[in-house]
Amino acid sequence: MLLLAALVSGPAHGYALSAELRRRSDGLLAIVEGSLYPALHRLEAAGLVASSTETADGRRRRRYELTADGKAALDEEMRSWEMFKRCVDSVLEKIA
Amino acid sequence: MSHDEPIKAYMRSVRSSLHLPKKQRLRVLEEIENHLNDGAAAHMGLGTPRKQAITLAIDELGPPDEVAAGFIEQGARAPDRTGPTRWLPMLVPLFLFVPAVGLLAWSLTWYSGGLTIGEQVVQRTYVLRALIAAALSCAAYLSIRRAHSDKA
Repeated sequence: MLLLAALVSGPAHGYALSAELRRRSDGLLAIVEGSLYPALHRLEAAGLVASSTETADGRRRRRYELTADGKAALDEEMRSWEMFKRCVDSVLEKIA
Repeated sequence: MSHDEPIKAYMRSVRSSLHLPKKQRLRVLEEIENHLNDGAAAHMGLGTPRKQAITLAIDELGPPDEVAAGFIEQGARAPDRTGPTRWLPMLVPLFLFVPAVGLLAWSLTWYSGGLTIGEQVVQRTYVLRALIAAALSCAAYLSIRRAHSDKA
């Protein structure tokens, strides 16, 4: 869900994605970078992201972008997360 | 030793552990090398000396054997079905279909002289074989197409 969310603002290559996740979480959420690309490849295989190559500064780079299915999956994940968060908050409020 | 040597050594180590089809392997190696270069550039942008920046980028990515293992698990779950080899399962129904149609066409030449009851039975068998082989070929074709589109 976090990778899909990081792609909402637009296409990005792998390093930019991990940097974006670190930035948005004020450094608290440092994705294990070695697992980033297998995760991206899984999302691509599932049709939730698409990748394309571009050449910049003589280097061929692969960038990822959210597909329509990926956006729909993210919306669904966010609804589930909101529901989960409300449940936990509700339980914690009763304890407090 | 050049400053980039640790990246080259890291890449050699990943490459030796990365047992994937060539196309997939090249893609993974390119992404990892770009990631290391991006990471090093980001640290250098914050004022870290080049040699130390490369070491930090490598540490953040993780041990090469663990990085390679992540891709191998991924490859095992989703084998590469994008090449021409994905059509190999079509060979079996086609081997049935082509001779069945050939026999049917050959049997149709019998019409010129009229058909005995025995010939009619044989011809119906050829029609049935051709229909079954055609159905199998269609089913195999659609299954492969669906599997491919699910992956893409």
